Amino acid sequence: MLLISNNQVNRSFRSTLPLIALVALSAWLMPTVLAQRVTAPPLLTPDAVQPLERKNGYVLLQLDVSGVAPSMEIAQISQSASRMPAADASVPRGAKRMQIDLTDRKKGLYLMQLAPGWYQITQVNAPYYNLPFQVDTGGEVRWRFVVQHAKTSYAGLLRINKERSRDSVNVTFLNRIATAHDDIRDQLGPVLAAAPLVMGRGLRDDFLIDFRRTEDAP
Amino acid sequence: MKRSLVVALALFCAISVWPMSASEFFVAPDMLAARLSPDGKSVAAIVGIDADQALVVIDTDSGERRTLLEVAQFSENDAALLSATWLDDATIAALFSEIRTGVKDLLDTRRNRYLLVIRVPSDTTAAPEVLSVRTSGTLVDPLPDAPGEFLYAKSGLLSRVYRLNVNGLGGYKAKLSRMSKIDGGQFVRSNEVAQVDGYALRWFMAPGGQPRAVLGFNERAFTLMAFEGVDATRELKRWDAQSLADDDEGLRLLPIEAADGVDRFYCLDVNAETQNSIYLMDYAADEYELIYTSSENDIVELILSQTDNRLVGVSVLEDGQLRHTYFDPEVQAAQSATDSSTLRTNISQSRAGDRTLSYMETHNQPGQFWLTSTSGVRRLLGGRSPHLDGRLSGKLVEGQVSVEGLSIPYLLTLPKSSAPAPLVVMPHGGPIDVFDTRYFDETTQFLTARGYAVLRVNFRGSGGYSKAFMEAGKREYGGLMLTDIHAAAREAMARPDIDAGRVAVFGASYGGYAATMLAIEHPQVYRCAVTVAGLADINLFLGHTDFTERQQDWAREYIGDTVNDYDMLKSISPISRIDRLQRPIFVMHGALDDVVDIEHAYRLRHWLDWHQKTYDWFVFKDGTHSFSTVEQVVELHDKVVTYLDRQLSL
Repeated sequence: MLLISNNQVNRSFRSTLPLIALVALSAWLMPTVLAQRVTAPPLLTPDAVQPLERKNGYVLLQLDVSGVAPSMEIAQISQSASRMPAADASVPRGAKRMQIDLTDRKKGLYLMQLAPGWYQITQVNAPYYNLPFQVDTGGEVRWRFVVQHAKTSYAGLLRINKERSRDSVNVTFLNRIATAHDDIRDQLGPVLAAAPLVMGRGLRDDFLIDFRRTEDAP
Repeated sequence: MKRSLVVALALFCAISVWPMSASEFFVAPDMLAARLSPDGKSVAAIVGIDADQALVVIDTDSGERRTLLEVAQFSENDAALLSATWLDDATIAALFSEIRTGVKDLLDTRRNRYLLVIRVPSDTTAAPEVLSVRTSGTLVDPLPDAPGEFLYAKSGLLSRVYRLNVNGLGGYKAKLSRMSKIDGGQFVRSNEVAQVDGYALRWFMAPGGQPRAVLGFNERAFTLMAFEGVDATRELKRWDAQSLADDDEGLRLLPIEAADGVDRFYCLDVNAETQNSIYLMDYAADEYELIYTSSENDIVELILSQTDNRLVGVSVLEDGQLRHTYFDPEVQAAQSATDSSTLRTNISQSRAGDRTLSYMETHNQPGQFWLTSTSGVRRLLGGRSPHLDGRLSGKLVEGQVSVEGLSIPYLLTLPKSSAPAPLVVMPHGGPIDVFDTRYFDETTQFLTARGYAVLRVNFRGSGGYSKAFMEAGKREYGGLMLTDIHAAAREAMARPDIDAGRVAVFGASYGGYAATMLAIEHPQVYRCAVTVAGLADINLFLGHTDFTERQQDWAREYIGDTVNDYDMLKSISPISRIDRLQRPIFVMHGALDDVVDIEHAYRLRHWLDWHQKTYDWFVFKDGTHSFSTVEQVVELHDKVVTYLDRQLSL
């Protein structure tokens, strides 16, 4: 056993204190530093969509966005698509934050290939020249979507209103599955044959399940 | 001669029984607001001209109207007159609002408010002089006894009240020269009447414009300060913002009006669940006395004597109506003689007290502005919808029905008809804390004019009665609220003047939800339903991203939790029951509805199609949740009444 006096302990601790603090600070900051901001997979119109890669699924977004350089940021909060995360689940530290540029996107349907799992829309940016409009949606279960393997998961309609005031802009993420159903069917026919449409909203919505049930009924 | 008389008589009869079309019935309002001048000789009124507004002056003796300014000609930026008051017998201050043009594409935005000061020329052919106060602030006291002067407050980190002179003001949007200053350079120390550190929320002024006290907010505390000279130097009371928000019990008396004596105020207890008591508080002595308590309803307004600021009565929201209670038995007796379906409010009185301007409306008479004088003269100066004056002859029946021990009030409006009338059950929207009143309701009167009886039910959850009644509606969206409406409908149908075989249900928002649900559940009663902007899927409604955290908490308490109660909420949603619908339904929705999203209508339509139900469908391309323009209102009512006529074979 190595015996050392109290003084030695104290002195030793003091001498290493800055180093420990630095390590602790680095460990705390590391995930934030490592939380890479990466470019998301391409967001494509139905006519330009690529076949699904083996492990992926599609997320189906409707866009109705205005402004000079709108964008959104998403991050995966869970890799399990089958289990809904808790309402207060947050984006894991260090998770990739995918930037999706929405500039000049026409109103309509868009598809993006993603790995299965639950995603959080963490931020929507709607800048107007030097006015940095941004909506933080990170803690909101209503701003989540789920991507299922080999399926087309309907996430919703992201709308950034053209009308805005100097200190606010209206940004909503609406569930328009019934309103858009005919358009989805008409524009995504071949895609849906390979990757059937499922509900991908953050909150439970039985509309498509009930719809299928009645379709399957004799 | 005889033949022309017969023709004229026939024409008169045809006109009097010819049902009014929606476009005849719903027109832009005429007179919106009015104020009597201090000498009682003129009334300043804000009136509608097509879709715009104008400020007019009415001679109270001759009734002649003179237009002072038309808003559309005065400003192109979506402007509106919000209020008007007299500064003296020949000067009007009008609060004017217009959109400040933004940068290109920034559709903003900001709404600017100005105080316009209009000099009314004695020569009726001369144009009025329109001045403005460019410095932002509020009119505190028009100082009617000091011609050409008024008190104006600026609120900020340091709040001040200034005594301004109309002569020093510049013309509205007039360019300033090098020699001139904004507002004549009147916002200077020598014109200060009162000042206090922090944001002033409410100035209490003595007659004549002397400052008495100010309720302000500063350093996370509300303070009531008394004046000694210009500066608010004596703190009468301090409330920490946190302590006001705490849940602990005890009185928290905040001043509403100044009473007699320097430190005495009429107060409400903001800590009480229902603000139904008035206290007279002496803050310096820290003593109070309870001077009035209503049964269990919120006090809406204090009625003060114009001469000495003495409390002479209160206005309380009770049994779905605004009741004025006066402490003087004689005044109260005169008030009690007023029919309960009449809303009567005194707006302003002349300096001498010999002339009074009042507002009155009843269930079948749109609002009117009346001038009465102590000599007994009573003159109609204008109204909101003069084209309907005297043309609506419906009868209002008030009743109550008991549902599970709770008395549910209803209002049944009957058309003037010798035959039993078809009935339209019309549940209100909201539904929590919203209620139907006995006073003028355009839709009800339009349908009554078209031969329908209209039933409006203040089901549990409605406001205007008591807190307990409102809270009885908690989580009863698809339960007892609907039971209440249906029970009232059954009672109305039992009347001999109602044709129980021709009943429809029509509503908007929650009312549209209720209409759909009632038609599904009671096909033997309701021959058709009309849902306007109605909820079809409650879970969808609760999942809207526009809900703030606070709204979500409220919705969980009053409607349900879409996470934990999903199946229950689904079971009481029309989309889950539409397979049982046996009656035709008309689904209408605004494409721009940001309260009940149009997805509700599409979901309903999807299941109507799937189950091969009979329905009509209409989307208002520019429609929001409120159908605010006259054109939209006309189109909506036109479609509703055409549909009802068809379904009920009218």
